[in-house]
Amino acid sequence: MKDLQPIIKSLLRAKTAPLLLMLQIAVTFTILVNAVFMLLQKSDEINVPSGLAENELFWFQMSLHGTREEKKTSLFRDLDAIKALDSVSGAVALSSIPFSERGAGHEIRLERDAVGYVTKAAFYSGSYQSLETMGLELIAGEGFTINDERRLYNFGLDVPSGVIITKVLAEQLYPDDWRQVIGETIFLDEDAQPVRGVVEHLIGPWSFWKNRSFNVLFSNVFITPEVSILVRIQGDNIDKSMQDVMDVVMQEPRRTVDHLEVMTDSREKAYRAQVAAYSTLKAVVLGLALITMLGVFGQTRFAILKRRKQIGTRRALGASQIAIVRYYVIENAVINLCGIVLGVVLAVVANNLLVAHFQLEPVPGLYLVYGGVIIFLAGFLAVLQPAIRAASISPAEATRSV
Amino acid sequence: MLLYYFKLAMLSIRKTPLLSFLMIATIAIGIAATMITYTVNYMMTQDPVPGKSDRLFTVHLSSWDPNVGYRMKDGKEDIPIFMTYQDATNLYTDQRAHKQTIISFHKAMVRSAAQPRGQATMTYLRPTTHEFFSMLNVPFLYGSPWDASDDSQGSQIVVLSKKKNEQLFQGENSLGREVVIGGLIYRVVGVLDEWLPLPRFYTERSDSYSEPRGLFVPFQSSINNDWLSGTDGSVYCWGGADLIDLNALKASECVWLFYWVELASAELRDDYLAYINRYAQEQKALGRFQREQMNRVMNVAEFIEYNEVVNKDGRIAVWLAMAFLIACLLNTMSLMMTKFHGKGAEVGLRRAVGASKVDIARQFFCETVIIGLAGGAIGLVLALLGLYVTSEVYSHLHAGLMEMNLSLMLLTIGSSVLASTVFGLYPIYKACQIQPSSQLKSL
Amino acid sequence: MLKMSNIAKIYLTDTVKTQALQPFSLDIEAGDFVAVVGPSGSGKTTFLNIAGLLEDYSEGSYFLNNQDVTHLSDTQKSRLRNEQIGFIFQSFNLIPELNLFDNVEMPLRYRTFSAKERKSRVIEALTQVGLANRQTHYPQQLSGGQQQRVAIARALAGSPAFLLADEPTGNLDSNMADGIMSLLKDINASGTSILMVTHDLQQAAQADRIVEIKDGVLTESKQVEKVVA
Repeated sequence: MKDLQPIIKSLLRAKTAPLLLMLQIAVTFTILVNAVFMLLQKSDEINVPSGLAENELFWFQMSLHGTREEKKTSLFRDLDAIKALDSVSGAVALSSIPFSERGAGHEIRLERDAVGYVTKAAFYSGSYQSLETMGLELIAGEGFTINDERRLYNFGLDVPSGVIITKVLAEQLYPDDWRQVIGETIFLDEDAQPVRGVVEHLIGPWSFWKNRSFNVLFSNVFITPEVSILVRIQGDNIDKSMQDVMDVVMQEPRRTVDHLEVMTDSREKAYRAQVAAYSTLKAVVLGLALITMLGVFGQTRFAILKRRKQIGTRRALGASQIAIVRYYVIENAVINLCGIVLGVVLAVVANNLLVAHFQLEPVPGLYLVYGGVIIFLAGFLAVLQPAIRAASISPAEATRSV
Repeated sequence: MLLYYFKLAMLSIRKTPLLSFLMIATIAIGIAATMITYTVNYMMTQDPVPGKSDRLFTVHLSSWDPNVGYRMKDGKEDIPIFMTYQDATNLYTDQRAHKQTIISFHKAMVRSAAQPRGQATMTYLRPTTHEFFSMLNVPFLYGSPWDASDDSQGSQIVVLSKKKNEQLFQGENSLGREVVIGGLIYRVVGVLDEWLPLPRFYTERSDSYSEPRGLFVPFQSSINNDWLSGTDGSVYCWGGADLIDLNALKASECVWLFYWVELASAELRDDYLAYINRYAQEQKALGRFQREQMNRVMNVAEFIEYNEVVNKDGRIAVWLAMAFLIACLLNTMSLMMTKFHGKGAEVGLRRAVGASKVDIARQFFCETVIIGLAGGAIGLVLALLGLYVTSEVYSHLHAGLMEMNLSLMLLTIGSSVLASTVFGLYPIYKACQIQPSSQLKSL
Repeated sequence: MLKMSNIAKIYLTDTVKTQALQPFSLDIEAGDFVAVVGPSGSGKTTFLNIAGLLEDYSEGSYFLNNQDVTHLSDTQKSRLRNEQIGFIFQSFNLIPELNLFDNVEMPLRYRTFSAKERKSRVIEALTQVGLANRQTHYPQQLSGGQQQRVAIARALAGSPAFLLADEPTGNLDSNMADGIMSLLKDINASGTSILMVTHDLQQAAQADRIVEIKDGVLTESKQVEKVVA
């Protein structure tokens, strides 16, 4: 580090060029830190666990016709026929489908008359085999049996037959010990329902909703003119299963089918916007790191061109090649560090603006460290080549007349 | 003289190819990033009905459950953006605005009468009323909208989008031809020309950047047919409604219809709101509308803002890209410093043989302009490429959002030249300060 | 102390072989003041570069203080330059961003001197050239002659065995040149050998020995017995 003092002195003397590089690094750092943070947040959002056996599921909407009774009969006839297929391991009617962007929800309270509510949660109502078919993991309490299943023309929440909720919802209701929720009564808007079980994960119908992991399951097949059917396949040929199921349901002459989709596609569609934003941010981060490297590379390279004679003189006066490399690496490190320090200030200011104007979450301090390390390493990589080139300048350069 | 400077600049650029390339490339990348995000954002925030958006209003009523509010928004109670069937038809019958329209939704199997049954496809329809088209400036290729009597009778007639007409009738003039919608025969009375309002402000947020629906039918005909579909639009209910058929929905307090009006001038807004409030008071007297009355009308811009149609990710992206551009320009600026500094000897010589500071400044200014132009041109190509990639990545948004018009292209080049000259000022100033003597002496 | 035997330099390109310096031998003893003269392009600079370990030679052997330098590594040569040789260049080669003190201190930083040692050496060297009161000035604030004095101070600060001066007065007017010459003679008088390349025959005449290079051939044309005081 014995070069440090003269390096700092000569940087202070040169002013403009290192100042510009420093500013560039500071601005880059600012963007980088905010972008990396948003990137990781998006990544969390996209990779949220669904709790579903996604690869084995597909779903569709189909029409039911005739009187109420006829609708009900045809629905259960078709469900039984689907379940009897060799290529199907389970099929349920559900009031809404995960990732489908359509569904219903309630305000959840622990007391009927409580002012405000604990949270909002989406509501899935359907066949008693919903848990098994979706592939959910029951971690406390009990699931639904055939005796729990009702088949109505409304949501049927007025009868307290019990609900199953997700673990995060349980934790929201009973922060101290979520297991306490088992057997307790919760209120879905006005309707009281005892909690009979808790599942590890279940994603809601709306991918963008902040409460997407708060969900309530209920065992009632709500018969409407158009119902959603979720099918879990047997074996690994999902296309064949879909074809078999369509062959069954299209036997009804007036039947129309919509949204025949495998669950992985539904998930992809639901997160399209986030995935797109994620790719954009990745491009930004990459571009920034590249531009910084280009900047450092260009700066050092041309600084060296400019100082050919000086470097030759240093070599003539006894500087070894290592000493020359060290000089430029340290010089770059000093500029980098100053840029990063200024960048930290800018990043905090920029983040406060983002938080204020776009309701983003504030960046945790650790990201400033991450960003600093990335910039520093990028700068170090970029300076190496020109520094090594500088070291190869012959000491005879000193005696060369221009 | 300008030609001479131009020649010098080209020589200088060619003499230091790597340095010039780095400068041009950094500007190009920065400009491209900014213009890609700016284009998407610009397209997203265009006025979808130019010249009219301050006279078009959507009407929202406080018809919700007396016991529980509809929902909370930004910490305040909010009312539905949809209307009940009763209220929409009551207001429509009153005809108190210059123009008004009810906007509903339905989906059905659709084919042309000539196609076999098997070729019918599930299609999203737009049941609405005849003034929808003139209110939203919808252009017609063939035919015209239906009229008020078709609305009152619920005639089985249909207006097709240009794209739908191509699918069903290979783009021919299909007036008078027949379309089978959910098993019923509809006669074509109009075919639209290209029409893509961005954002598609008159409906739900999730549909803002997708294409309009392809078939428009009189709202009354969907009522006559008992069409009810709860899965392609939103129906919000309270009070334990039992939605087994359309009659149940019509009689219920469920909200599901959009209601838009066009007023003769924006100043009539208060008068119209007063009328809406009087209507609400009448309904209150009849036992409905028991909540605190928060009825409102919103014009197009207000509704777009309220609906948070414009993605905030998009706006953040513009800011990120602009900061990125600044980083790029700082980089270019330091490269310029290096470059002009390297030309100290040349400047000294030129000054010695009698060039003034202004001459030197002109010479370098010429060079920065050329670099800016080159950066802008390459940036434009990169931006167009980037927009193409973006439209692939953002496949859920309409590709029309990712297209540059001529003025955006000019803006790209212009801002590149402007940015490079502004950031070139200081390097040029420094270069002009070089003394003729100082450089020659060290030779 | 500086013993060159049969040194030659050949530049090789793909097609051409250029004999820059014909084989020559030269001994320089402690306290010698040797002037190297000759027209431009004759090979003066090549000779100086070889003597100063700035460039490799093609043939022959070179002993510096009884050490064979032929097979030394770059780092070893750097070290030797730093400790044994003081360089004075035609265009001074001061570093414009550094003030006089830092400029003179620069070569000392490549050695293991303590800060205190460095400081006393810098001040001593600057005092010797008469610029001790201008340590914090920058090169641009000085006249050419003063800049060259700083360069001489820089060369002296490391107490080298000999000084290599490449046209030290080439960029100076005659008044300043005379000043520099008398300074160099003073330094030589106190025991430091000097090897000076010049094109000025009057200056060359002030040296003890004159070596002439012409078309790559080196001949010694004057040898004066040193008068020991």
